[in-house]
Amino acid sequence: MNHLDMLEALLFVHGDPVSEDQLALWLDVASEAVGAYVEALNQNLHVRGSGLTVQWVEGGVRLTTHPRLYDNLAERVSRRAPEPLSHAAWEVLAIVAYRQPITRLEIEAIRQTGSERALDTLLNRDLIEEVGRKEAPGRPILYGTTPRFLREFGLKSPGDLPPLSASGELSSSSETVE
Amino acid sequence: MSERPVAPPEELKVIAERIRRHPEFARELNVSALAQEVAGRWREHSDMLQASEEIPVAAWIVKKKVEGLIRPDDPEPEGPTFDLSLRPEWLEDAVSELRNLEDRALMRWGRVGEPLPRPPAPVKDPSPWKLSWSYPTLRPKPAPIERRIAREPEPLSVHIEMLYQTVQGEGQLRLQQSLMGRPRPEWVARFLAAVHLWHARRVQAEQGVPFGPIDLTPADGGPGS
Repeated sequence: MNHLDMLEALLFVHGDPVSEDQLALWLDVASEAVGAYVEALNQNLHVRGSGLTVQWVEGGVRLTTHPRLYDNLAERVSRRAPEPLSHAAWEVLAIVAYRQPITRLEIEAIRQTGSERALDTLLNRDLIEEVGRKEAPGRPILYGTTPRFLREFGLKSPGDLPPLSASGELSSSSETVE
Repeated sequence: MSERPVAPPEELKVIAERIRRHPEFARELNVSALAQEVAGRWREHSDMLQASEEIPVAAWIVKKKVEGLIRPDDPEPEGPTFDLSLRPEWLEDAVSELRNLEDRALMRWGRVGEPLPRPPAPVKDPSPWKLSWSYPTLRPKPAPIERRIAREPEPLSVHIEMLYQTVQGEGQLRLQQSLMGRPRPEWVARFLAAVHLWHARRVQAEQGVPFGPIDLTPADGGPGS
């Protein structure tokens, strides 16, 4: 069995991201070796000019169309665009993504405005979720991002978010709200 | 403090509405007299429907009175105060980064696939019974209810008439052969029909040996006679 062929077939069959462990099980190789196979498959697709490419997302691997084909695809295939988020929702999402886990009061302290509705919107869109309770008076809910967020933003994990400017990091450290 | 006179009980809702608009009115209301009066009325006129409408209103009025006495000068709770100048600069950067990320992610189209089949979770302290209940495909299935559709049996008179017509039409009928392929209850019905016809002397029955075939012929000699 050619592992690369098998890997391509498995990723084709499963549209959802497949975890490294699962691929290791299916390919009968060590988990540590999966990354190399995925990279080799990506190179293989690139060399033969495939319209597909491999993407690490949501803690796994999946096959997607190549970004260079986006314009051509968009002309020919319609895709239902998600409902655009309000600016308030974007702000709350950014705060949760970069400062998770975080409580509503902390979010409001950063934004300096109420954020209840924006939080509801993001919860309904399954972009954020409750990840626990803070050990503080009232045990407020802690919010974090969801696997759906990772997929919609093409991230393997929350740690893959692009870093912010140094000033942002410094200012964020001094504004923690209890 | 001079308390206001008791209002007529039929004005309970009016009082409640007035308290809702002017909460300080509850403090001046003689609520105990009001409660005694309406309670007396509920006892005297046992109109349960009217009482069920008035009791919650009266209870609310009493609650407002108590709140007015306990916390007459509580200030209205204030919402959190915000100062937009305290918003951190990195927030706009973070939003911008997220928007860029989304734009880049939208450049790729994924395939809509079926969710991965998840292996069943391991069973703690497994026993055959726990295992069978843990895996749905192995669960004992309830036996399906057996459904039978039965034909309503014809009355014996119908069998008698049908057998007589057959014997008349064919001239001679071997009873055992006429039962071939028919359900067992019909055997009994046909046999009884044959016995009845023989008793009534409408057919003649011949059986050469015990348990041998029974031949039926019309008593009047058949259609040809």
